[in-house]
Amino acid sequence: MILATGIPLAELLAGLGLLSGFWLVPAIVLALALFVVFCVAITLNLVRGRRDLSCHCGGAIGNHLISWWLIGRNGLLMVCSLVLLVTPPDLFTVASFVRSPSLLHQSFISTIVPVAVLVGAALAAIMLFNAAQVLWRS
Amino acid sequence: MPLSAIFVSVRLLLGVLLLSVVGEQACSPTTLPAWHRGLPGSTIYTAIEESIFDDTGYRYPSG
Repeated sequence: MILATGIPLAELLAGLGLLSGFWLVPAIVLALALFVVFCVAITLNLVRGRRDLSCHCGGAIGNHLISWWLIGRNGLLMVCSLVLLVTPPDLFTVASFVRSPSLLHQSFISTIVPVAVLVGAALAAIMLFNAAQVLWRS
Repeated sequence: MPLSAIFVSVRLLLGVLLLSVVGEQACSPTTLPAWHRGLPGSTIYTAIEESIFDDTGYRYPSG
């Protein structure tokens, strides 16, 4: 029951940590650990020949039947987490703005606008890709 | 566009993805009642645990 109760709690803490910037490094490590657990669970089921199971990834990523493609996607998310882990923490965090409120005003045009465009475009691309997959199968 | 904007975007994107997953799964109509019953073995989270530690596990329905 440790994983069953720990995974949602870890997802919540990692998500909040990544968004806010508070305890950023532990949040990234937690996210990495989660991706590893998901990869192990999917790989074990694929090896056992159970391909008719949903990943129940949910949310913005959408639900899919488990496949090696999902392992690749999780691998990409792990690479992203590793990049965040080895680069210096950015200043565009709630934690930074609490410490220095003037930073919010200074970084609005140079960071907030491009970031909003990038995140919005990435989420839109993910949702369009999921919709295209559903249409392709139907 | 500064390189830092890309790192910030990656961080925010990962955070949004994780919160959207836990939001949909932990608060889904099938999972919420299970929390009240003390996770008796019918959520995707118990299915993940069983698939790792018990090779008869992960019988959670698709869809």
